[in-house]
Amino acid sequence: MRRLNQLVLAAFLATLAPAVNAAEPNKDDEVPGLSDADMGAGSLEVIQNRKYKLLHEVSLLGGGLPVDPYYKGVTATLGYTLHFTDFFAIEFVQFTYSFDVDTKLKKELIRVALSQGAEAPPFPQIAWIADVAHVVVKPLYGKEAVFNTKVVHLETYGRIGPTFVRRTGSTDSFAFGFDAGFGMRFWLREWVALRFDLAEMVYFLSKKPQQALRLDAGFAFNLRGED
Amino acid sequence: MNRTTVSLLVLGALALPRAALAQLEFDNEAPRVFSIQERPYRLGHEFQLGLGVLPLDAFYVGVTATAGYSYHFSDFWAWEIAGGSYSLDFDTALKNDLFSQYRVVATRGGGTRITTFATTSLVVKPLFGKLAVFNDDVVYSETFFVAGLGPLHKGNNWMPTIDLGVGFRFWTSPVLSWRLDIRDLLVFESGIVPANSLFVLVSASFNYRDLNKTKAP
Repeated sequence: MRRLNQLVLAAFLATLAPAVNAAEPNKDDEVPGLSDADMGAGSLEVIQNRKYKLLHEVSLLGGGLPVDPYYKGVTATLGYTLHFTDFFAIEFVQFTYSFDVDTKLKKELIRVALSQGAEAPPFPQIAWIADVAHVVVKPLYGKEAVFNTKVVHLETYGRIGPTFVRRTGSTDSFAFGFDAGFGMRFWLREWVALRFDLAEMVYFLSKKPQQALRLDAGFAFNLRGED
Repeated sequence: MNRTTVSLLVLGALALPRAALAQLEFDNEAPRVFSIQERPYRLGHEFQLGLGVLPLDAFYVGVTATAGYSYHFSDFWAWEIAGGSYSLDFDTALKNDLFSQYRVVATRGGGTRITTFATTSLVVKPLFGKLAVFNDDVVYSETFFVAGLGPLHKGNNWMPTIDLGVGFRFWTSPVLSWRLDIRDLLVFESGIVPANSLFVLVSASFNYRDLNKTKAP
């Protein structure tokens, strides 16, 4: 019995020997050690996949043209944007109609003119704006915690492109210009987001360039048909 | 113990695991679980320096130099104890246009102008998060809202103003962050109906805080 035990032990050790040899590293195949810098330790960032992606975007915005001294425009805007990638989109068209409210200065000037027996001067006012083929660049996408209890996804973007302006009250009734600005988008659902836009528009008439500050806020509807 | 009692005990014992299982069932969908990451940046004493603009007045555009100090009580609340701005005002073309087109000279050079204002404001910071920059880098950001009041010097008079606004902060280090503030100054020049003045400010904020602290101040 004792001899049998010795034979079993010898057989067991014999089966272990190749495994021990295999476990020993071959110095020729040894992988050189990597430093923290090689591994990117301390600067390793993980970019999470985007939860919301846009494709066909229809925007409905309300806003204003607050700078003109003779009137303040209250605007309604409808636009369509096609998003090609996470970073790049083309705002094919955005149409803005302005409901203009006269300022006190304009009323005073009209009153002075009429009191002097002259006709009321024509004050040019923006009637509508058509933004076409705006390039939209969306460098920032992320999420923010709301009071550490909920998460809201947001995006910032810049947009620039040509624009056409229709003005009333002036012989120069149609003008060409450029429009540039930036905005933020906060997603409420996959199909709807809150948008805030700020832009400066410069358009050219016969004498000199005119400028108008544009402020908008509203909803953007994502018509993306897939997840 | 009779047979009925034993039967009831056995039935009760069988019912207990079923009741426990029922608590794990969901009506329609599993509960949504959010994992809120620990904030890597926290503010304590904030010193702010910036350049701003007052773009709304028709007769001038104000370019401001602004400085401020805020104390952050927690991740969500802060007190902008003092924020002061001095405005250099530049004429627009309106005054000349009025004369050339309408033969009208604006009284007092086109109305009174804001030169200085200072406010103290409550700051609520509900949103904190991180943004991917072209999916390549990460920047931490915060969105906050302010409401405050203070004196404003316009023309030759001091008058009260209320400031309401929103701001965005982007960190570049625990000490330095960059802010964009968009505020509306409600200026009570005469009576209770205020005049509006938009104030847009870009500033650098320097944060002093015991960095060994892991919890919010």
